[in-house]
Amino acid sequence: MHDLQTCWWTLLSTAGHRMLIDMEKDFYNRFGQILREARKTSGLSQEDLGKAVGLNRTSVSNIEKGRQKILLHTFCKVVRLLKLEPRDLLPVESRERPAPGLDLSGYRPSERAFIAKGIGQSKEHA
Amino acid sequence: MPIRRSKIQKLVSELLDEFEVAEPPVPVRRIARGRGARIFQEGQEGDLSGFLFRRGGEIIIGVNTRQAPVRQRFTIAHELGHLMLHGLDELHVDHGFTVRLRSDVSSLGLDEDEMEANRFAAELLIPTRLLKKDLEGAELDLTEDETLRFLAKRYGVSAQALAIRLTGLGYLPTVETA
Repeated sequence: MHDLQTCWWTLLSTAGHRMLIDMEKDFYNRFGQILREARKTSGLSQEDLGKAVGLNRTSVSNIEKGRQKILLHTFCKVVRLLKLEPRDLLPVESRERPAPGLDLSGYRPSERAFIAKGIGQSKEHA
Repeated sequence: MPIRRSKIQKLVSELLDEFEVAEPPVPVRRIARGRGARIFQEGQEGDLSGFLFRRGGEIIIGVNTRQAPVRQRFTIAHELGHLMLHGLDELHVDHGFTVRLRSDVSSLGLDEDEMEANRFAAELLIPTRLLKKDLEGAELDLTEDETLRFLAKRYGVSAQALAIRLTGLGYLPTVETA
């Protein structure tokens, strides 16, 4: 559902504007949740993270609540700060989904990567 | 439903026979592999201890190698317990489970499947039959920390897990714990 490609297909299709807005909202909400998790895992406060990437605490809070959209260069700084890969913070499933149909969205980004990699060793998806 | 102690004992006993385990430490990785599981081992920040994945005939046990070796052994045994006892979803992930084996904590609502898997792990890693053999006739003072550490090392388990097991088998007196 939230596969990047699905997003693009919806965007290019004649799907209604409403749906697009909902999808976008959902995207930033989910991004915010992932970011919050990742920040907490690193033991950083909203203020700490903000300082390191050039945002004030309110902005960080808003981003985590999905109310504010993060800029691409800020996103890159966050990724570097938290020592993650960009995909760890993105609310889209990996394109190399090792086990189709398996929903890992309930896990933390780093855990998702661990599980996906472990399962990725499987014969049928190698 | 209370946890199925006798079923767990039987399963563990069969495993020990099948893999001809006569001495500690119990080769838990070899047993898991012998049971058809592939073991994926990698370091991972956070409290994820491991996972069990099943699809078709494929079984993968994931272990977080960032955790202590004794803990990794426990994780593998725990996941093996799920594999043999439970028809879980195709993916089951475990986070920093506490080793609570005393029945009186069941009231705390620790998930029964988790309790069974923990119980299975404890029985497998510290088999009653091996422990008996070790303790019979041996002049060991189990109240000595030194002895506990020695035995824990011998079985490849934490001193805490060992102490709980010894208490459960009546080798150590029950102590008041929080």
